[in-house]
Amino acid sequence: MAAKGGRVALVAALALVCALAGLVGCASASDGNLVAAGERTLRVGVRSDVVGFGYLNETTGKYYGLEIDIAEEMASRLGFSDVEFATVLPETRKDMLMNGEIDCLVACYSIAESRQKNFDFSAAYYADNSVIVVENSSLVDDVEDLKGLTFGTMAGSNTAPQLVIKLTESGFTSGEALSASEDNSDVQFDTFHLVQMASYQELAQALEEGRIDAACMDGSIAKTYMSSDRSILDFTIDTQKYGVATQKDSALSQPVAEAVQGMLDDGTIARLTDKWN
Amino acid sequence: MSRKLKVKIICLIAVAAISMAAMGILLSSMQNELSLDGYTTEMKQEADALEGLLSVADEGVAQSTVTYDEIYQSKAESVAFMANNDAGFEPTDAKMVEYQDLLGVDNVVVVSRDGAILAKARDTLANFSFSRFNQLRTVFADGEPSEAVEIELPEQDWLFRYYAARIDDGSMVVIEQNPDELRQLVADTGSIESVLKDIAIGQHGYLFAVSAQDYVIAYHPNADLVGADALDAGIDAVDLEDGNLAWMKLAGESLYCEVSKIGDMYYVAAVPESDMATTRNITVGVILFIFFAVMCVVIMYGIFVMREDEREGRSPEDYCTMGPLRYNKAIGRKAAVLSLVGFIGILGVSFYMQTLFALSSESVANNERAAEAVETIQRADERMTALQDQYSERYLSKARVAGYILDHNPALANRDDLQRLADTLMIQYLFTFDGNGVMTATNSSYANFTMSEDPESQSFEFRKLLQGADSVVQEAQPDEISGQLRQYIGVPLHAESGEVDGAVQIGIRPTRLEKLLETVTVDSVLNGVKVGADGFAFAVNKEDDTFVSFPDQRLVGKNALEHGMTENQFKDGYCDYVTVEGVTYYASSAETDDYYLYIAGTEGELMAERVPLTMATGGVAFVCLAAIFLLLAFEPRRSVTVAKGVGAEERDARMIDVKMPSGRTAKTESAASRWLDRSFKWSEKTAEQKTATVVRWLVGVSVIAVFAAVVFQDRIFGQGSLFSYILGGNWERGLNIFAFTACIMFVCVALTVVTIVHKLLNLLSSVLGARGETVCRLLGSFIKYATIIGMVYYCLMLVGVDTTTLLASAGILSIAISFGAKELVSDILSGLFIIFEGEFRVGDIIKVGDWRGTVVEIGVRTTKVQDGSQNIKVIRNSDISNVINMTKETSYASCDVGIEYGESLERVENILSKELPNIRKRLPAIIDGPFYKGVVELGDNSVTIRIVVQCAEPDRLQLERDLNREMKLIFDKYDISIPFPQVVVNQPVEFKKATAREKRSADRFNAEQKAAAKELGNDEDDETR
Repeated sequence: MAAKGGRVALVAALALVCALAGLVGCASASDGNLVAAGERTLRVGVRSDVVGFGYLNETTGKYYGLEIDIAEEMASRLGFSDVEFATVLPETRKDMLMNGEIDCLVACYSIAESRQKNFDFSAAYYADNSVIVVENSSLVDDVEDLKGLTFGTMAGSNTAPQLVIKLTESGFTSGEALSASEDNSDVQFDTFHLVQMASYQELAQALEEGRIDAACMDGSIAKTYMSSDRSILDFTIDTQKYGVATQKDSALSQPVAEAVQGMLDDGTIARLTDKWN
Repeated sequence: MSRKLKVKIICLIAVAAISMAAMGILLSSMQNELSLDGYTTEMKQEADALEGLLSVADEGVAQSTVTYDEIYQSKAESVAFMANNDAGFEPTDAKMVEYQDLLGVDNVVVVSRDGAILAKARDTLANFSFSRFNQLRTVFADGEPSEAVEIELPEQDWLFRYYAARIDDGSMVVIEQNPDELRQLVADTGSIESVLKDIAIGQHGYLFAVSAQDYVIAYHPNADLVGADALDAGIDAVDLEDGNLAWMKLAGESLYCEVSKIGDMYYVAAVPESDMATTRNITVGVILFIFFAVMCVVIMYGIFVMREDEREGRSPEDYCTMGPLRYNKAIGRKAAVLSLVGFIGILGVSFYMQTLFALSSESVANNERAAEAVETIQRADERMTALQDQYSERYLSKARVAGYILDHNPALANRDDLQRLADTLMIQYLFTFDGNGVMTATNSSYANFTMSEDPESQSFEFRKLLQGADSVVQEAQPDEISGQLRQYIGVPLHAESGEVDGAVQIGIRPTRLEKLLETVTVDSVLNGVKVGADGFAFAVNKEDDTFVSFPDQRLVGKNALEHGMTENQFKDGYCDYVTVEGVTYYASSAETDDYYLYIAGTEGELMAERVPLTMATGGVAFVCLAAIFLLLAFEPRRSVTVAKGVGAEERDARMIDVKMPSGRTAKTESAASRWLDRSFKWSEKTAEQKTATVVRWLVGVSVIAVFAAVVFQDRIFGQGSLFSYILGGNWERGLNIFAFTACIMFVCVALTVVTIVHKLLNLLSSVLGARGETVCRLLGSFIKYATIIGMVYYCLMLVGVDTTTLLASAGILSIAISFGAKELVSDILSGLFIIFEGEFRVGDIIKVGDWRGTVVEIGVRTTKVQDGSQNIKVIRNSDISNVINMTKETSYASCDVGIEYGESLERVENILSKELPNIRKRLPAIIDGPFYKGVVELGDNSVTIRIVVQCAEPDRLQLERDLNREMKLIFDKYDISIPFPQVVVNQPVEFKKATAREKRSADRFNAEQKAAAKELGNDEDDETR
């Protein structure tokens, strides 16, 4: 009987703790940085070159895409009166968030262990495969055809390490770099050559020109650069999950995570994804 | 005003307001729904057709690309052929430049298998060692020319297609070519724009395309919007779903849209709301106004009558009891008549408006479509020429290559090598000729051919080549035997010394050109024109009046005149009904250099909306008018109108009762007051007059509204509106609805202007003197007639009467008139003037000459007047002159009586003062009097005195007789004698004769007197004598 009573007490205590935790959550959302949230602007780092995710229309000066809609919805759920978008590049986004130039990143930023050390991530709002794009005229239709050829990736994205891992796993390469340039932008492996480029635009141009034979990028981004003269190889480098990144342990982290979770739960994200598909 | 009346008025106003609202909502929603329905069907059809159109366009692009690639592949191939057939090939830059010129390409490069450049015409950006160019290396595997590799890097100004052909196992020739020409072709024939730009929905509807990937507008008729973000421009992404019908906003414009998703693109068929709104608003507005006017008139009339009743009381026989209600016969009858006429008016106007706007919107749309089709055909013509030039140039280039090769290696002029060369060049036949024009070799089955010496012959032209012509390009023409399009091109061949010693001719069957040419024929252009649900376009050849294009292929080539069309329809800008094979279409025409184009739609589709809308309008109007009628004519029984004393308020005497020919007594304005520019006081008017005033206001408002609409049309309706279409007068002259409408508009404008001028003149005349007023009145009357004549003339012109011939024939007409019809014409004119000037009206009492009577009827030729004895005198209008209109408030009867000079005037006057009041008592027709007016004349035999009485004009004559009788009786009673002519009889007298002496003395006297007064009194009838 006593044991039973103790169990009841335990349950009650747990419930109380949970309730308190909830309260704390609420409190944290309404104090600290967010006290004046009603008047404040949320600064969001977004992409400007990924059609369907974050795309800056030069003529109108406005951003469009799934991530833009998510950021706006999120801001309104967090109680921000306004959203200010800033264009981030894969190589700059990390620093910009670290330095607090932006409050959060909604910029095709995949959730990776290495990144979780530095940042807090919300739940994934989009899952995407990183893929290999080749020119049809190169007559490559299998990864094996790329032996001895040049791969290009985007500097700052984690596609490059993943590609090496994946290629090693599949026995394409031994995975050992024979030589590398100082900033690792040009690495020679035993069976392939890997170059890293500053932007997807540059990557696409190099592919067009033939300087690289395969461009590795996220599927969402690849869409922008696809044409009838190019194809995606049947080879998945990795599945990327995009999440909203905030500064590690910042006051914004939890509310953002909750807001994104809420949007996932009530189908907002699904609806927005559908809109931009 | 009693409480009861107030309640009734409030009820009536409420009913009217509710009716208006109901009518407005019903009409606009019905109109909207009907037009939306129409648009939806149209959009669905367009959407269904779109997929096919797009795939045809895609196919066209694919084919164009293949053709384009083939040309350059063959060029690469021909370089390889030269290399392999000892035709002077060497891998040097200079040779490459030569080839570059010969082939007309941007660059020729010889590349080794690993991508090293062995020879080049100029520098290239391409690094052929990259796997990017693996495609080119396929030539080493199969020996066939490679497929194209295209590189497009706008940042580096690098747009080229690469084609390779194998020279040997170690090297290949690569042609580098800028594909601008291909891009242009694709843009012209295969782009979204090329497909969408010709599709129109309704009047201003169109199709636009939005990328499903990034919501960027890929095509929109407004070029400014292309490339803009659709979401930013106002479209909701949620609406962009396949098959969705929705209202969207784009760049501030509200559009009714239907979305279809094909591939990665949303195709949105859109109709601007303004397209529907203008039509709807005007139609609904006009019908509502008429409805309002009818209700207003009926209600006002009822109210006026009831107020009048309240004031004056109404005789009980005007009422009849029906159960708990009382029916007011007087109001009931008039209200019923007004309601009925109004109801018919509403139906008529409703039907008229629907027809007008259906037809005019159809006309505007058709005209626009026709203009576009003309443009398209002109572009097609240009394109046809351009295509022919382009293809000729391409084939000439092939001929040159063949010539170049044969010049370098004449040994190739044999059947097998020529066949290989023909395959390389992708042409059908090659012929070589010697210096005499005799065929030396060919790959065709024609052997033993010599260029003709006959200038008429097709091959004669090629003899020029032997005389030094650089090239001969014949236009593609149908083969005499097969009818297929075939083209021959020749270039000269040279001996080693450089002299012309023969020629090479190529024969091509330009299938692609043939297909492309087909796409730009009138037939195919017109087939692409989509108009409404069942509209189409057709064309008639100007020269022989035959159908060049018609959906029913059987009609093509037939004479249009024999299939229902008429000569007057063959012109630019025709816009009316056209009958072809017994089917009537509503069509607009336009003219090109060779054809008349018609955009036609069947009337069924056009007019389908009219009947339901008219019926609905009529239904609502009927219910509302019935309700109003019941409210007006019936009232609860218990409420009894209290009859107040008659004449509690003195009526203005300007209104009098006249007996109408129908026996009814009606009120009319007295003759004198009709020409006064003084209006009645509102309270002085009868109910009818008040109603007439209301009607006049309503008419005035509508006339001014039409006037404003006409004058400010551009500002109100914008360019290209239906209104400006009607006013623009681009419709057919004739008895049609546009002419009718234009007449109404013109009359409204003229009336407004004339009324304003009249008012101004009135104002002027009020400040000017008598002379000024006379001039003003004269001017006013002049303006009135000028306007009427102008209006008649203009309106006749609008309905298609040739007014110039009318004027010209006036001369002949006047001769005819002078012969016999003169009287008739003058009668008719006089009749018109009587009516326009309002000399008299039906019911007036007039005196023409010495004929006095009541006007029964004013006809066009004659006027019928009824005299006191119920005789009808028919007076020809031209004989009606010096009319005395005696319709006045009161008339007077007078009686002149003579008294003897011996009688004492004072005594008579004393008697009269005593007796006159008695006369009044005896003669009830007397309104006032009798009055003694004094002595009229001191006559030869009597002193004439006058007695007058005031009476109504119809009673006057009888009263005069009665008065005479009374006077005689009075004079008899008092022994006053009335003088009468008396004859005095004298006895005859014997006259004495003069003696001779007396005669002489008299002569002398005469002579003396004449001499004495010689200077005096010589004027005949000297007044001073």
